[in-house]
Amino acid sequence: MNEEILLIGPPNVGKSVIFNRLTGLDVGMANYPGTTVDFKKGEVEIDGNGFSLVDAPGTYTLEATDEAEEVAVEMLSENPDGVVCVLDAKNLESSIYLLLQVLERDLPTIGVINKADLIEERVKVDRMSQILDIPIIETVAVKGKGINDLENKIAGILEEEITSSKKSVEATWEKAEEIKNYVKIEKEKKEKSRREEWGDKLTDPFPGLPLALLILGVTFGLVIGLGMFLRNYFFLPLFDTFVFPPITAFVESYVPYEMVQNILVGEYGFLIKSIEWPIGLVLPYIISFYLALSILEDSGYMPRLAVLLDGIFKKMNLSGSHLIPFLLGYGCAIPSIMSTRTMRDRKKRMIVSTSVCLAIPCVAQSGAFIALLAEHSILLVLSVLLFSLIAAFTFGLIMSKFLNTKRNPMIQEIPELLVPDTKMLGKKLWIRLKHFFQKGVVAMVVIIGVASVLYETGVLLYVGTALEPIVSGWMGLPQEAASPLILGIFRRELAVLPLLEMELTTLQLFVASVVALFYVPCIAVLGVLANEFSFKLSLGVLLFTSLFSFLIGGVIFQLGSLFF
Amino acid sequence: MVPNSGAKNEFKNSYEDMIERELSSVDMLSNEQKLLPKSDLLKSEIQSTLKFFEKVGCNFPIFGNNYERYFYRNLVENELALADLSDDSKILVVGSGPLPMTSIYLAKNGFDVFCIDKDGEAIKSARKKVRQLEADLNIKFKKIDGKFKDYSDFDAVWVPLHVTPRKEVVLKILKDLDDRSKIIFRNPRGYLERIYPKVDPSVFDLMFKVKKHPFGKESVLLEKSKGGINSMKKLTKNRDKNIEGDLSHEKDTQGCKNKTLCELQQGERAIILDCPEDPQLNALGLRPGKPIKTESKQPFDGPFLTSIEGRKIALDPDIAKKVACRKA
Repeated sequence: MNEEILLIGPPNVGKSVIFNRLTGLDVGMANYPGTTVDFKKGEVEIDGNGFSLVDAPGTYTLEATDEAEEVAVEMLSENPDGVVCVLDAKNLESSIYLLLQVLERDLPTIGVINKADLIEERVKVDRMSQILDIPIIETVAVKGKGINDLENKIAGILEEEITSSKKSVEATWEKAEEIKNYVKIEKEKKEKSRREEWGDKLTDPFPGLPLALLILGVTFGLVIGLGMFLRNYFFLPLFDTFVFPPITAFVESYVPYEMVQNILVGEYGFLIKSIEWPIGLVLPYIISFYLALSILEDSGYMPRLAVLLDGIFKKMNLSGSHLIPFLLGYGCAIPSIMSTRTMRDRKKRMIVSTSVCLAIPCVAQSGAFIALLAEHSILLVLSVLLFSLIAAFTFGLIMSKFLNTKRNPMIQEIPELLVPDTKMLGKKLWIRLKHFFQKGVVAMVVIIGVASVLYETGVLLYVGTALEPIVSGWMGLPQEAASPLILGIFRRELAVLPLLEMELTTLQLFVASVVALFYVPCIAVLGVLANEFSFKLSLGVLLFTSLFSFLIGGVIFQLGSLFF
Repeated sequence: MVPNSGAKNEFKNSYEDMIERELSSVDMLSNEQKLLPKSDLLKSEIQSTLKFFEKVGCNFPIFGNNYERYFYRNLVENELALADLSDDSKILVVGSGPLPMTSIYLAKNGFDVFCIDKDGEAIKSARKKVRQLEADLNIKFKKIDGKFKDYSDFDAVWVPLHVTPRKEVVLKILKDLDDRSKIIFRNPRGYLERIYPKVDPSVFDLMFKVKKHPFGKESVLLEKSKGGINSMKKLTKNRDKNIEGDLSHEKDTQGCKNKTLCELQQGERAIILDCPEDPQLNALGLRPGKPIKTESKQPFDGPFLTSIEGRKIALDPDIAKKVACRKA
């Protein structure tokens, strides 16, 4: 079996960046505590020695306080062959405390002081190495500095040149402070840099709150604007002139049977829709949303927003730190549910996860909404999104009353405000696009393929007739609207996209959107819910969301038809 | 003699001094209040209306039972969770009123409850109400005239909202209560603040906890054994410099030296004296002896933004009020 090296360290210290540098893999990275909530494993080869590197979630101490920290402590207890303990140059004292706790485990250990570029003073690395009897190196992982040095040291562990520390230092805060004073030369604090000043301004209630509104507004506008721009002026013209005509022409001239022709290029034409929907309609928003999210993540603005809005969230029995799962949920519910692992209270975790599943549209679905509604009126897009937000909070509020949870008081570390590194942004965007193509597009293409066969063979029509009393009678939608509801079980955006082909009135559009919004979260999300919580919860969410969406869709239609 | 007990007595004495001083200032205050008849009239009208409702509730059980269910059961349960009493505790309820809901729920939770009230009528109807319940509850009632002296027999004392003046009553109880005993008193919140005076729990100079309830009430738990920051400070100061004793008293009661993190001004620097033991908090630098600075306070009762050795941390007020510090 391969030897195993564990990366451990406090949250937001850059373990994932080091992991990606060493393994060449792409795990998620961001500038806020709690980015990594599960361990990741990667294979590395240094000078012909292969080993597995494990990236653990950040932990402040080895006394875990949440589920993510528990994972880290558990990884350490499995006795890896070596430990790389990543220390935060800015907050050396508490990092040293963690290192002392790690050293008590008697494993070969390397100390890595990361973010060395963010401090003005220097750390006396040789002194520290000497008193702790382990190798200590400095790195700036985002820029790749010191990574070679680290590789050499890890090779040292593998060749058993580096063993566990022979000095035993008791892990106490006093010791940690003493060591820090011995190795770090304190300098008079210089004037605040412009960057730090802005960091403070963005966190002060004034001008922080008005700026927050501005930033959120601009971000929202940019995501929609950039997405629509890409779609209308790049992808759709490209497809309509260069891609679709040749495909249609090819199929019509070479495929003999009309039914097969229809399956390939007809109304639900597989070859057309499986390009138009995922790439023409959804991809633009994947690009614009994840660009915006990556900037928010890497700048360190998200925790600031959480702090600013905590007071308002408090009124709803939530904490500002719940904002991060909600924001992530607008991308995809899966990372959102995973990120709730840093919450200390399991009931709260469940409430936030289920509210995200119920009412926050994922980016693909939002893209589909915009495609469906923006043509009609941009106000319709806004009202659906606003409706989703109100529903998420109301649901959260009712659940917390129902489960009688206590609000957990906020303890939030605010990272430094950084200007996001463009290379890093590019890389993150690339990771997310790759993920979308591997997971999203493939699944969509398969489902669209199956659907186009079912449509042409009349199966969807048959189901539509069966569901007619609900779909047409209760919710006032055309009979065909049953098919998106069936496809929507597999992926959220597919509950919306087929509606594009139907001529719907404003009220029908709103009803259909709201139904799609609250409808079953996709199958992958249900799987994650079952995994993180319980199968029962997952089943409950499935039942509740489908019934609730029909209920509210019908109520809106019945009320709306009184006025329109 | 045990070396510590001397210091303890000193603490006790100085704390009792403080109570005496506070009591005399309360007397002055309540005299002043008597000079404001107009607003008092309205208040007493509303108060007597509430009392009337309680009497109605007592005579018509259906009304009373619902009143009880909606207003009191949760209230008392929350208070019990706050107080964390041992099962065999003896509880005193001061001013139990004609419909002694608090007492009944306390007794239903298995505690020994003793109720006192000045109003003989109220005691009568309260007894009637308890008899009507036909449950085996451990409640005793006693009409008292003026002073009640035997507070030391009880593990906990409840002071409901309608007791006036609550500050004075709480101070008197504090004076006679056993060191380990607890006091729960109720404060108005929101719209009820216009009807009942609010008592600032920090005047007692003890560690306190507050639990908010719906319908305009909150409960405050005081524990006599947990002296506040001022008295702890006094204690050490007196031990070190007996000569300066009196002078420093004056300074400390004005509260200009030691505070909780909540009370620091924006931009004020301080040194942490005491804070909760929590691995995450401690790792973030919240440990006794660390310098701390408040950067800002977020609106709507939001978190305090503090910095400790260059690290920025947002802390909920619930945590911030448990962090004691002295001015740097």
